[in-house]
Amino acid sequence: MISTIVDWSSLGEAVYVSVGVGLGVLLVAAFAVVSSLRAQDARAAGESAVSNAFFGATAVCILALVGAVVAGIYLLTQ
Amino acid sequence: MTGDIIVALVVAVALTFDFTNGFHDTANAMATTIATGALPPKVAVSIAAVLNFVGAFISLEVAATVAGGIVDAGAITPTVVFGGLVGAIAWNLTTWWFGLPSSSSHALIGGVIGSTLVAAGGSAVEVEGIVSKVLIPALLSPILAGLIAALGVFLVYRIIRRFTIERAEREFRWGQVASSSMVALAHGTNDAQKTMGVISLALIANGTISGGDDFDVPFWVVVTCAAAIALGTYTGGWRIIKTLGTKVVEVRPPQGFGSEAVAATVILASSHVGYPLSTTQVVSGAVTGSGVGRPGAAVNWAVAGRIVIGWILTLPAAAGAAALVYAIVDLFGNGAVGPIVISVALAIAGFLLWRANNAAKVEPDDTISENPTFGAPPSAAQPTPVTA
Repeated sequence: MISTIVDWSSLGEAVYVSVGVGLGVLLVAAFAVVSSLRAQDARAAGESAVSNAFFGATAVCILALVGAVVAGIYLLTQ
Repeated sequence: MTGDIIVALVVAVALTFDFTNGFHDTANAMATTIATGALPPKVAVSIAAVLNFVGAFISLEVAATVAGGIVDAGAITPTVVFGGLVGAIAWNLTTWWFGLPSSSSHALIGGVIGSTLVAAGGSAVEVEGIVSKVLIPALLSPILAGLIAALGVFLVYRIIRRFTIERAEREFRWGQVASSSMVALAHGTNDAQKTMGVISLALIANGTISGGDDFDVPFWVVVTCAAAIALGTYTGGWRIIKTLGTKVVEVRPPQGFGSEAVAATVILASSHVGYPLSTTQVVSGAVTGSGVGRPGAAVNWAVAGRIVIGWILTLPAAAGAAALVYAIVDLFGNGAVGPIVISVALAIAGFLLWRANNAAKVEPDDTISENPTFGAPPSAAQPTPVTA
């Protein structure tokens, strides 16, 4: 009975999108934190070039997270 | 005239349900943010209230989604809807009193099923719809959210382990606020619409508005539902916030961020492919999973078990309460007397519960962790001087 009334294709799609995006968002956020902390440490050590590079990496990660939020709001409107 | 009175009562009870839905589910978005001290309790529930209000306007794909595919649409009358709403409110208030984060959506669905059973018999209930739209998502979604949150939080702590853990954890503060806000927005969009659907259903059944393909939700319905859920959210269901934020597991900022981000992702991904989920169950599963994933964290499985029991009981308990309400209304015949009597009883019960709550109140500060990452622990607050 279960096999006939459940749309396994949609369910599978929901699962792999959840796993992929959910883990992706967490990992990008973790990398943003690590980059930010390394940038702060480099700045404190007077290594401005290294600091700027890590701040750049942090900015890229934050932009990716903002993109995820925008995509989420777009999905809400559908 | 009688029909108009019943519909007016349905609207009032539906808005009451929407209010309880708001304060019952504030915890979903903000419990972890409050627990870590990332936001003060009142600020957190204010943000959640605004986002719930805004969320209610984002999408209006409502119609009869609450009961669609669950019960025979022809069996739904304003009185059936009334019974379902009262049953759902009764269960929401019961679980709130015990601090259990149960699903308001399942309470509403259970309520409609219960009153339909009494009104039209078992043949009007679509078992396949209940299995595919309610039971399977209810079983899978918290497990899925828990597993993703557990793995995700574990990986996050692996990535940040080279730094002092307290220092790294503090960096997640604004991520926590953003992910919680996303859950609040999604909650406003999903849950306020359910009440809009219920009110629209009663208005169509009464002939107040016309149904059909060109059906539009009346603007006053949208505004009142948005306002009711936002007001309920602002009131803050502190009992449930305390359970979810401090009793299941000691929440640290990466866990708070991880659980809310995963919950938002699972809810949006599932809704997009046509599986409407319970926000409460997904968030509770993710919070528990985040406790499993953080090295050294201990999940209080006794509390988690109580929450799961609450989930299992939600559908049958709300159905039973609604069936009882419908049967009582039916004793008074087809007029408006039955719904009026039940509405008065509901108001009296609500008043008594409010008084009992004031005697054993959970204060906003009680919902902050004993060892918050941001700000001072609640126990460090200076007591109010007592003057003679």
